[in-house]
Amino acid sequence: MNARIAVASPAGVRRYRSRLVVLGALPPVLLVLGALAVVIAWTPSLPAEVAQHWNAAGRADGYGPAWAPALVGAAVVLIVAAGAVASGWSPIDAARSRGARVLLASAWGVSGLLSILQLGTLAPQLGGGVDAVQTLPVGALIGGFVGGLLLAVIGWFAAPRGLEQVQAGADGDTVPAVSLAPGQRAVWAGSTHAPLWLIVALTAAVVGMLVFALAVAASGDATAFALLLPGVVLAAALSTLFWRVRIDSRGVLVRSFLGAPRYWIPLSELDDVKVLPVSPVGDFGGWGLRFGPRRTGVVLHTGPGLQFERTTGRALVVTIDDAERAAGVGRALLAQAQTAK
Amino acid sequence: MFLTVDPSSPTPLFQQLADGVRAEVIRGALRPGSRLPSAKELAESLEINVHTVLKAYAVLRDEGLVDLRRGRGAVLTAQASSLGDLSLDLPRLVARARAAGVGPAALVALIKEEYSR
Repeated sequence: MNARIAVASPAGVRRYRSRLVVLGALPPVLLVLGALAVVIAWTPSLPAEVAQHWNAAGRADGYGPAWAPALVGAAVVLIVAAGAVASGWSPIDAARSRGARVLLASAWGVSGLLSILQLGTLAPQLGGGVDAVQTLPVGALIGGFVGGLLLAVIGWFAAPRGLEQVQAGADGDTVPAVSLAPGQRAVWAGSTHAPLWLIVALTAAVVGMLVFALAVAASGDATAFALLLPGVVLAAALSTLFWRVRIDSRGVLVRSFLGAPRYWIPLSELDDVKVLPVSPVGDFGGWGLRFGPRRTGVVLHTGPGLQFERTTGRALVVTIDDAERAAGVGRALLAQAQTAK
Repeated sequence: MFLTVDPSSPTPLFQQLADGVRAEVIRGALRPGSRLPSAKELAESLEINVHTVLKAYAVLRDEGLVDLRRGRGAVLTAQASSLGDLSLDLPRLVARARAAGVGPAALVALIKEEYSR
């Protein structure tokens, strides 16, 4: 559905994702795992406790098992790489926000820094006593930072940039009107809601806030009612997570399931209806009812959206399935109103 | 969900509406659990009588495609998914009928006869 506007072709999306994982996230993970393997292989010929920390004067003042920092480093890089893959999984999000690329470059950089630093400080302690690195290993430190920086740059360019087709559609694409016979009447109606995790998280927050406020109130503290305020704010946010959209010969109605907030655009004030791929974080800085510099957004998921352009005032963007056909209906109704004049 | 009515068509308006809902089900735009607009809202959108919409909804309820409940409006039943599946078998049947020069009326008559057996 909406393959053209949403994300180009499924094959394009597969290529993007395999590049994200294989070229972007896998190399730093392999590097830290490799470093961990080397550290483990070296362990028999290392002292039980190796120098790991040096004071301001450059003298060793902390000792520990060699594998511990290697394991922590591998875990950190793994988590950052997984976060990058998750935040860049949708090519729409990747095209609109640098978040995933920044995370991938960080994973590359940190993996380089830690691997060089660990192996560089352990190598002199091989077979010898702790005395080998009683002073700060400046060479390993400099090498680690330079190598890490270099890898971060490589990672930045290895990370995919989203899909060009998606980038091109940021201002909205025009779709052909559906065909309507003269005198034929049409209506398009649809609904849209926030992703399940957001609904669950907000509901839990609202319930928790109410329970806490009631518990404090039961203990006789008058300030408990102050705690209800954030609960009210969260409940208001919850009211913007389910929306209905209706397009007919009278105009466009976008309203929350509670009836408010609602947006009503009479057909006479509707200039055009376009479709566009929307990235909630990249385009509007988050989910829900958003107020951008040029347009208002009812932004509930990454994917296809409708952009209602007004003859006066700001455009309204709504993320919704079947957006392409909805836009086609809107344009057909506009054309019908034009010929009726 | 996209619905149209054409007052100048010989097909009755309620029939056009019911056909439209079935087409949306086959298309996958309406699924089990999807809610149709209230009769009043749909009547206003399409500038037709609310009883016409209620008649269309009643037809769909009698077919088992929607559930009409007070306060909840018209909700698509599980049959919505079977209808979508069944429609996958149609292109082949219709292509054969077409190749044999059998028109829609004759094909529908054949299907009805098969049901009455």
